[in-house]
Order: sequence, then structure tokens, then C-alpha cells
Amino acid sequence: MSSPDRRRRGRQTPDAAPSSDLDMLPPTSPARPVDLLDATSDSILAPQTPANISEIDLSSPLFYGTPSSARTPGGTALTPGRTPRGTMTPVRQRADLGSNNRVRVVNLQSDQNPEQSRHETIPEETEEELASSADPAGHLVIWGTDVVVSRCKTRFTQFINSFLPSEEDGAMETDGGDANEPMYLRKLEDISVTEEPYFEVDCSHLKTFDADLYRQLICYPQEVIPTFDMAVNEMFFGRYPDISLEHQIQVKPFNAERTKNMRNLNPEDIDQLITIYGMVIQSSSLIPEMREGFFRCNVCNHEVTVEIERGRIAEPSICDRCKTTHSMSLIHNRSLFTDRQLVKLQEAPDDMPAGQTPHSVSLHSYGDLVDSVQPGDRVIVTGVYRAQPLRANPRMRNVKSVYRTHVDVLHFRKKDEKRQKLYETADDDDCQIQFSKERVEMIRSLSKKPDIYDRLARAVAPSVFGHDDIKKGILLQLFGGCRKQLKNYAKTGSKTGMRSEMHVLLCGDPGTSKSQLLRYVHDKLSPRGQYTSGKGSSAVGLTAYITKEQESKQLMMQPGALVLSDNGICCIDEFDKMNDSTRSILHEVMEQQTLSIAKAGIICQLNARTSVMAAANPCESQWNHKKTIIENIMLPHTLLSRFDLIFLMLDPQDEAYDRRLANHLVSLYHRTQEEEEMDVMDSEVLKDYVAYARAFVKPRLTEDAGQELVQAYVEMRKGGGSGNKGGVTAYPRQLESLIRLSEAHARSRLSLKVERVDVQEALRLYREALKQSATDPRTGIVDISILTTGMSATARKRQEELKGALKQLIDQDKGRGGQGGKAGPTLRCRPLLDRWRSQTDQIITQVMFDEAVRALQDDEVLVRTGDVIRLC
Amino acid sequence: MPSIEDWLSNPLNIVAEAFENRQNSKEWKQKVEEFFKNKISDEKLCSLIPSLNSTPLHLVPSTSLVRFRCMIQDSFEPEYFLETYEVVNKTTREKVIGTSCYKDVIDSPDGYDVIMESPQNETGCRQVLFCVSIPGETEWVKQFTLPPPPVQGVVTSNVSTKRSHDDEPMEATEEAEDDTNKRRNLTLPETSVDSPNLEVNHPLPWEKGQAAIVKVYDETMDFKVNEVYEFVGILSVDPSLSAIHDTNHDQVNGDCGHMEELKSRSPPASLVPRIHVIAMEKLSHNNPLLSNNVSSVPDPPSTTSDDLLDFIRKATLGDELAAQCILFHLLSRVYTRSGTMAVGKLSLNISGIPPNSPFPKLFADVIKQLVTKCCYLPMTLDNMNKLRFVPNKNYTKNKLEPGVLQLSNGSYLLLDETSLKPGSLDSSGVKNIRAISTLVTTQKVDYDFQFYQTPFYHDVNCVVLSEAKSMLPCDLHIKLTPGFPVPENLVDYFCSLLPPVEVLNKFRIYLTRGRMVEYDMEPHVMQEIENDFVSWRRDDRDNVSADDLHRLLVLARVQCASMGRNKLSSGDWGVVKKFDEKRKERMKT
Repeated sequence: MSSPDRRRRGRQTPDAAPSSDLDMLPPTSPARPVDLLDATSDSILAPQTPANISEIDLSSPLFYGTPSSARTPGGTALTPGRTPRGTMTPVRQRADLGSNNRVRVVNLQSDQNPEQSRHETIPEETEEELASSADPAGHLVIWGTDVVVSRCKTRFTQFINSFLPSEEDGAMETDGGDANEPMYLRKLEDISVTEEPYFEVDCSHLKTFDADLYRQLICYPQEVIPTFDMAVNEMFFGRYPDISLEHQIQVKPFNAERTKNMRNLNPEDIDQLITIYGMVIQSSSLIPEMREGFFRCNVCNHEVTVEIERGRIAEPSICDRCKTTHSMSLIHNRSLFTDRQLVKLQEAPDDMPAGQTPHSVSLHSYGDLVDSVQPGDRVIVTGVYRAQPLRANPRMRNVKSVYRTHVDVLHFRKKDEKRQKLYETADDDDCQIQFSKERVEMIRSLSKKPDIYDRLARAVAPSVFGHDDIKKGILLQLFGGCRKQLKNYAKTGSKTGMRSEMHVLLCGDPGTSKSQLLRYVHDKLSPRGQYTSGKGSSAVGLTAYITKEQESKQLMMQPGALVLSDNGICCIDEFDKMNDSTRSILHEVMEQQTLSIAKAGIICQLNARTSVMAAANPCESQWNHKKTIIENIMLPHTLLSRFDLIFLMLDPQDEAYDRRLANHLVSLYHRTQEEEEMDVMDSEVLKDYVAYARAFVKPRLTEDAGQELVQAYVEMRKGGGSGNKGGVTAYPRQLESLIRLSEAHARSRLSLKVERVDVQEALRLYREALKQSATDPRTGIVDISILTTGMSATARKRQEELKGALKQLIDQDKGRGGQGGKAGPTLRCRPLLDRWRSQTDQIITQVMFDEAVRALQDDEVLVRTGDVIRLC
Repeated sequence: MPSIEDWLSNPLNIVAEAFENRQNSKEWKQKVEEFFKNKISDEKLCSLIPSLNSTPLHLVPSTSLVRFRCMIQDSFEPEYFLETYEVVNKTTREKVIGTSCYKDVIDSPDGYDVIMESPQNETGCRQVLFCVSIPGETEWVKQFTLPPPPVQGVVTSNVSTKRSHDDEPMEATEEAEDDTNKRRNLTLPETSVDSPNLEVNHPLPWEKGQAAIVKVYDETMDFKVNEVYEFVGILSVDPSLSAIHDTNHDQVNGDCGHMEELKSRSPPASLVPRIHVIAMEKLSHNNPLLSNNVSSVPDPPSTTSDDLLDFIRKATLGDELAAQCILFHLLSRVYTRSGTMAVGKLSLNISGIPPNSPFPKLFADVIKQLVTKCCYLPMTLDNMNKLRFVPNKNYTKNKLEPGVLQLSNGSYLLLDETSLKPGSLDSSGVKNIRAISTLVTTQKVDYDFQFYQTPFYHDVNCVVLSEAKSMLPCDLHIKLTPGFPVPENLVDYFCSLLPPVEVLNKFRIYLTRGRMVEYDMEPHVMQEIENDFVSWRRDDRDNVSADDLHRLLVLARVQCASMGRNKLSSGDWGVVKKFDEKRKERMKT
């Protein structure tokens, strides 16, 4: 390898006096008089192998103990293409660890800790060989490292045999397996079943098991991983000798603790195992890379295969059989290739410091990892960081002093995989976000504060003054409820369930910073939001539209705002100005959380688990206090009832408010430095807090809270009805809202249980919102039926008037002292109606009269029996 | 001690010397930096360093010291390089250690080979920035940079070469003045980038700016895109840097897909030189008349404000109120951000300009005489549909492609809506308008990274010239009403306006200083403002909203700044109230 920083860091320099002669496998390529044929761009300048260092071919079957190990250990007979019997598991070179599988081993003098060597047990397979040449007391260390192959193998074998996952890991990883069973042994068993020859190792497990081994893995992946390979293969074929795999098992470590932001990578990390997080932005087409060249002599047709060596294929310059020079020619069709792909990984947007452009890193993926990621995927990559000298033109004398860096990928972990595993968290993509330990700590400590809820609410759009309850509502919307999957449906994968997203509608006078709130939520808080204006958006703009792609002439579906903000918040300004057909789509989205599309031959249902946050202006530009919300914003009640919270943002006609507003604004303009620091929570913190809560906190209702909810609901149903008993005032939909709100509030405390306090706050906020939006302007009583049934408020109003008039009429009669009785005066309906008609110029129908009487009856002013009215 | 010529023309000698006498790997670099800092702090010596802003690249020899005043357009990934390396003599096997700090190429002497595997080799890391000359830098600022001392045999014959610039009559007068005031022994023949070479990523396509790839050795520096710096460093135009453009695909191993990227990352050094930075300074403004630290500048004479207002009034054809608006606008600046709000911005809309009038262009020329960074943008359909306004990331080239709106803080953007003719905007045109509108309202631009958008915050003073009220939401709207009959020949009229350079310079200093000045409010003035607001609301609730107060508060700051003070007085508040009253009055009629 030509990695630049390697030797500097190596713990053992070659000068560390290798004593015994280890020439059991003579150094190969550097000594050979060969023409070099470039196969890859790496390893231009291969190091010279010092003569006193031997090489162990890690890909040799002797080291793997595969069934094929019975065959001759020459390099040529090993390759899979030529395996004579199908039952063999071929050994395939690992492209991801570079082409050099021969490891030079240095025998150190026994200046090492003697204790170590006593522990050392050399596995059978290698013992023979090593013993033959090396002094048993000697210490075989891979050149440039402190890795002892045998010891390393033993430790790793122990790890597989005995590692038990800790509690929380066990819950995550095992699928119903026994937690007391070593999890990696089970993985071996899995391999025997699935025949997928990849063995994934979580580095954090390795670390808890053996920190030193872990350190070696991180520092010398190039050497240690092949050693692990050997160990795993020995174990596997020892246990399942009859199984043949596509090729030998390859160890794929992931989750190295050296998890880094791309920006923090530095020369120290070269040739180490790193884990970085980012977004794939580009992937190249597949590049076939020659693994083994096939040569045939033009003279005598003698055939030779040459394996790749340090990135190059050495073209034999002389034919072994007929001794003609330069007669060998490469036969492409019979050469063997591995797949290689170049992938560009860019810093994820969330990691990017403000005001800077994102960094990117190129990745080289090999073999099975090719095409496993697509542009746009967010992935966690584990691999070896490499640097190569960049030489623009090999013929030039001057060497460019610059290196090119890339990562040889060992393992991709897509964020989505995790998501599928934990479907409960599936309602949120934010669980992708990895938080640093400190951040989690901070969030946790924040959540302990007693006033966290108020604190968080204050952090919502601090530049908007007042409107505390509205901010709380928005906060709860951000947190969201928990998705509930009905058990029967969960298995079939049907989407039936209860929505967890909350919808909030803000309506009110123009210029009351509704848009500012919306914008703030969209810009600063919502991880995946869309901002649209009702005026400018069409139905297709919100859902999806079909376009014909220019090149392929195929129909393509382009997602609209609602689909794009799946799992986010869709902010819709000027909600009232949206036309009816556009609005009608929202019905489905807001309750079912899906979008059905049937256009141009494409019929499908898309997920649109979107929280809608809308702002609407009253149709008369100024809120008319004499009208109900329905009349004011002219939205159908079917839509309104889907909003969990509807807030009115009115300009309070109040001098004290004006003063506070002025004070707030003025202070914006002369903020001194300290004040800024003291400022309420930073929006980033809030964002992380919300993301964390959404990802990790799934509160459940407690018995207590459930009781409270039931009680509140019952009360709402019987109590609220503004006088007319006929109207039901709360519907299950309201109960669902309350549950969501309570859950969201519990989340704000990072509590796993929904408790009484949560329900109480949810109720309070709900009432507060109702008080503003569902107040009957005539009676001043909160009446939810305005929202739920839309109970044409004009009718209500007229009824109110009629009732009043009738009451008056009756009172007149009373004053005159009509026919009296013990139970109070009685009236006959017919004359009463006639007299009423004569007194007013309105047309009073029989129905209207009946209604008015019934209303008065409800008020317990009178009792009607047939044609007779008895006053109470 | 090396002589002046030596540190100027061959700074690498000093670097090598310091390297040889090094004690450890860190300390010698500091010594180099100190040495050069000492030199640069002397203004006289500093002015000896040729500036890439004014000197054409081909006149500056490679590996000599240069200055470059520029805006960071994009930042690349950090670069790993062999910080120290060992070379071996092929015949004598003698080994020598060298450093490739401050250079791109290891220039091993003849007969020496670089040992890539030497244990002495150390890998270093340097930041790489793509910089362009400040977009919209006005002509007078460019002129001001003194021509460099003659380097080698400089050809001085082409004195009368007319600069290929699109500024017309105004330009001529200004040039004449410049010639009389400062003897220029060199003109600026633009670097020969006539071919529309995309490698020079300049945000404003009509400007022919210099670009450079700047390499910074200080890893702790945090550079942000769109910041303005002056770098002093060692120029590197080694032809081997552009070798990638000469080799054809087959010769480069394998990955053709990355050829594009490699090419864009290493543009021809003759077009985009590399600068290895030794010293740098972040510029808060690019006014050459002022030192970087504005607060140290003495107060301008109090008459300047009136003189300037007088001058602007002439440009507004005698409209006092409009002139006042413009002055206020020139002094405004985003001084803090709160939530999504950019506090302190004051976008201006001047309406009442007849279509097809030469006024916008002439007006822009006047503004260009006053400010240091100005971009005049006629909003023609063609411009709106074809130009790229929002920078976007090109992933094949792995580069941020600039857009017109990638302007550094403190730039002046003049939008001429009168040149918008009936026609249809295509989708990119609509996006462009939206981008401008976001910039006007929130002073941010969402850069397009294809998979997502990232907001970048700007501070660009936007003024919109329009016939009727502009379609862009501006904070301050004024209808231009000429105070005297509009002259027949506007071009001649505007030509006659310009005061002598000394006066202009006074204005320039006044504006830059006023813009940057600190600002605070006295508690009693705050109280007064609050009281006023409450009483307005009491009297006329429907017509006074929070937005009005916002506007007045911004105006109060600029009024205060126009007086050169940094504490708002109740007098200022009074002036502002009266001003806005008058303006509202005007808008009613």
C-alpha cells in the first residue's frame, strides 16, 4: 500500500530487529522481472518488501480451513471461476481492503511482554507452518503494526463464541432469539441458512468485549479484518463443513466509534477504520476491475493467470513453456473482474455549519455493495480512509504534493433499514438523526426542568410577540402524537390506524404575524416542511402531477407539497383563498394520511403523513365578532373539524397589549450582545429536542390519564351544549385530538407515560382554542358544534331572535295576567302565533314558531303539551 | 536578512530558510508568518506587493508574493499534501528533506527522486477556497488600488487602451478625472478571459473578474461562503497544475466519471492561479478610503450629510423626499437577526419612473460613484428567464455554481423593473423572481443543492425602480415627483452632476462609515417611541400596525447613523416621524 501516513504511525518499525529467517513464502512480486500493467489507480508506488520479512498469504486456504484447503496452496488454483467441484467454497479476494492480501510478518525479539506470549495459542491450521520456520517463542507481528495474527484470531474467536449483547441491544437486534445465546454464533447460523457470506460485526460490541482488539481493528483494519476473516471462516466451516458458499465469509465491521463528521476527518485518520454519516449524491456506473488477468502465449498457447497485486496485474514477459519473450497477450473474456463503483457522499444538510458549503468524500464500494445505495439516500458508511498521491501525469518529473482521499467501503447502513426494524418509530424520519452524546445529555437535562414546556413554547418564533397558547399549540403539533396501529391491521400492513399528526389552523386579522409563525415553523423548526400559499397552489401542486420525461418519453410522477412533507409539516398560508377543488384533497390527507392519485394511467396511493399548519384570513378582511368562525373564514365545517386546534389571532383592542407590543418591537432593535445570549432557547436546540422526542419517546396512556380523558370527554358531551340539548357537542374526533395533545405534551417532558397533568394541559389548551374559535357570537358560549356540524349559525342566530321575540310576547301576556292556573298561566298556541304575526312584519311560519317554543321549553320557560302552553 | 526584492519576488526562499532552521514542525511556520506579517504591516512595503485585482496575472511571476481582495465563492474539501518529504539522489543516495508548504508541486532537483514511503514524510492538511474578485465592485474602488511597482520589464505602452467595460458616459468623465488626479502608469488590460470560460466562476456573468484558488494553512480558520477577505500569499501558476486538461481520458486510470470533477477542481492555472496564503485579513468593507476598522475613523464634518443629500437631490431631479429615502437606504444594514426577521434592512421602492427612460441606468451610475459594491440589474424578461440567480450545486463538477444573487454583504442591488416588458416568464423566471422576493423580504437566498436547499444569509441593500408600485414587497415606497421640469437630455444632465473627486471621496467615506456605525437606544427614547405607538394605535387603530413601527424603527437607526451618532436621540425620532408623515402624505395623493 502506498498510503502516505502509514509508516509514521506504525508502532513497530521494520528496524525492530526481525531475527529469524521467515522465508517460508518468498516475497513475490517486487523481485519478479515483470512489466506492470495498471489495473487500478491505487498503489502506484508499492513499498519494497524488506528481505527479512516474510509474507503470509491471508487468502490462502491454509488459513481459512475451508474444505478446499486440501488442494494445493498455490495461488493459481484458488480462484472461484476454476473451482472444479461445485461444492467448494471459493476464496475470493477482498477488493474493499485493497489488493494486497499478503501480509508481511515480522518476528520481534522477545522484548515484548512475555506474559502475552504465554497466552498465545496458535491455531492448528497455521501452527504447523509457523512452527516450522519461526521460533515458537518469537512474536509474529504484522509489519508496521502491533498486531499478532494468532492472538488476534484467538480473541476474535472468543468474541464470537461468548459475546452476549447488553440489554437494550438485545431488544433491538434479536428477533425473538434467546438473549443468553451468543449473538454472533447465531449470526453464523444465519449465514448457514441464508448462505450470504457476510458477517457483520458491531464494533461497539467488540469494544465492550476487548478494547485492545477494538483498537487494533480501528488502527489496522487492513491487517486485522483479514485475520477476522480467517477466524470466522475457520469457525464456520468447522461447524458447518457441508455448506458451500458463494465465496468465503467476509467480516463487515460497522459502527466504529470513530464516528465522524466528514468535516473532522484529518490526516490522522488515514488507513483507519472510520464511520461517517452523509447523503449519497452521486454514484458512478459500474466499473469492472480486473481481479485476475488471463494470459495466453501467442506462440505455444500456454495459458497463465495472474492475480492482481497491489493494484496491478503483472504481465508475464516470458512464456514459461516456450520461453518466448513478450509473447503473452491478455484475454479479456477469461479474465476475472470485480465490480467497483464510485460513490460521492456529501455532508448531510443538518451537519453543515451555517454559511458554509458542504464537504464531500468519495467512496469506493466493491462487490456486493455496488448499487446498494442510491443518490439521495442517507447512509452511515464504515470503511477505511485512504489517501493516494495524485499524479496528473506519471511521466512528469515533478510530483504533485497533493493526495486524493477516498473511503474503501466495508459497510453501508441505510438509515431506512433501522426504520423498518422499529416500526413504531416509523412515523418519523428524524430517528435518522444521530445525536452526539453531549447533545442527548443536554436534551435530557433540559427535560428535567419543571418549566420545560413553557420554555420550549417560548422558543417558538421568539420574534412574534405574545400568543403564548398558540405557540404551545404549535409546539405540541411539532411533537405530535403516537401512531396507533390497530392490531388486526398491523400484520396485513394496511395503513389503517389512527393518525398521530396534528393539524393547526390559525385564523385572524391580517397583520397579526400568522405568516411569520408559519414561516418560522417552516424555516427553523420543521425537519421536512413545505411552505405553500393557498392562493398560488393548485390541487396537483399539492398532491402530485404527471409529466412526460423528455428523454425516455415515460410518464413520471412528481410529488407535490403534501407528499414531499410526509412526516413533516406542510405550511399553507392563505388557506381561505384556496379553491374548493384543491381544498377537497385535504380531506383525505388530513384524516387518512394518504393521497390517492388516479391520473394518466397511474393509480396509486401515496403516504402523506403530514401535519397541516394553515393560516386563514377572514373573508371580510377584518374579523367580524358578530359572526361565527364558519362565516368569517368561509371554510366548510367538514374541513374545520379535522383541525385539532383552531386558534384565533385577533388584534386585541387593548392599550396594554399595544404597549407590550411596542416594547417588544423596540427591544428587537436594540439588542445588546448579552441579551442575545440570554435569549430563550436556540431554535437549533428546540429542533433537536423535538427530533429527539419524536424519535425516542413513545408515551403511552396511563390508567389515570385514561380516566381523566374519559371524564373530560363525557363532560364535553353532556355539558357544553349552549342550551340546545339536541346538539351533540363533542365527537370521537375530539377525543382523539385530546389523546394526541396529551401524548404530545408528555413527549415535551420526554416522559414515556401520559399522566394526568398531560391530559389537563391538553384539555386546557383545547378549551382555550375552542374558546377562541368556537364561541357562539350570540351567546358567548363555547359551542363545538359550530365546528363539528357547522350547524348553520345563521339559523341559530335567527332562532335566537325568534325565541327572544316569543319570550317577549309571552311576557306581555303574563303581565296582562292571562288565564291563570295553579301550575302557572297557560296559553293556546294558535292565538299566540296569530298575535305574533300581527305584531311583526316578518313571515313567521308554523315551523319557526314551533322551534321557538321548543327553545323556550329547553330554557324551562314553558311546557308545551299539544296545543296548550303552560308557563313555568 | 533578505532584501526587499527577495521577499517580494521569491518568498519561497524565506520559507525554505525557515524550514531548514526549524526546531519543530509547528514553530517554523509561525516564524514565516510573523516575518511576512511584519512586512505587510508596513503600509509602504505592503503597497509594493502586486495585487491580482489590478495587475493582470501574466505580469506577476510565479512563486512571487501577491495580494488578492476577494469574496469566497465556494469552499472545497481540505487537501492532504506531503508537508515534509524526503528526496534521494539517484546516484549518491544522499537524502534531503524538504517541505511542500506554500507550493503545489514537489520540485525535486534533477537527479533526485521523491521517496513516497519515507518515514520522514508527513501529511499535512490545508483548506482550499475558491475565490473571486468581489462581485459588483465599483469602478472607482478598482481604480483606487494603486498600480503595482513595475515588475520585471513591464510593457507600459498600452496606456490608452480603453477598458472593455460597459459603463458609458459617466465612465468617461470619471476616467478623465482619475487621470488628472492620479497618474496611472499602467492601465488594466483585462486578463484574456474573453472566451466564456466557465472555470472562472464569477457570480455576475457580465463582469470579468479574476478568480483564484486560495489555500490556507491555518486549519482553525472558519471560512464562510460570501465573506470578503484580503489574502497575501505566494502565487503558483505551475503549468503542471493544469495537466489534467491535456491528458485525454484513456491515460487517466479508470474513473472517467470523476474527470469532470477533477477538471473543475483544477482549472488551468493561467486562468485561475493558486495562492498559498501567508497572511490574511477579513474585510468588513472594501472601501479603500477607509481602514478596515471603521470605528477608528474620525467623524466626518457635519456638512457632509447635507452636501450628500444635495447631490442626491439633483440625481432625483429635485425630489427632496426621494433623496432622503435614498440616503436612508444607503445607510441601512442588517445589524442583527431575530428569528426569520432581518432587523435593520430597508428595501426601497422608487416608483413613478416612466418606462423606456434612461433614468434607471443613469441613476445606477450615480449610485456606483458612491458605494463600493453595486450591481445594476435590469429585470428584462431575458435576464429573468436566462440568468441564474440562485447559486446551485453542480454535482458532476462538484462545485457551487454561482448565481447573480451571490453577493457579499454590503452590496447594493439595483433592480430596474421598468425594463420588464409584457411577455411570459418561464419556470426558471418565476423561480428567479421568487428568489429576489425572498432576498428583499428576509435577506436570505436558498442555495440549491438539488436534494435540498440551504438558506444563506445576506445583507444586500435592494432598491427597486418601477413605474407603479413594485411587485416586490419593499419596506419603503416613494413615488418620484421631480421638483423641476425634467431636462430634455437626461444623459447630459447627469454628466454635469458629478462633483470633484475630493467631494465624492468625502461622500464615500461618510456612507461606509455611517453604514457600519454601532447603534443603540437610550431608555427614555425607547419609552417615547412606545408611547407614540400606543397613542397612534388609540387614534387610528386600523391604519397603524406593527409593520409601521418596524419601518419607523429602522428609519430611526439610519437617521441616527446619518448624523454620525450611535445613540438614538429623541430629535432623530422626531425627524423620522415627520419624514414618514410626509412620505405617507405623498403616497396618498
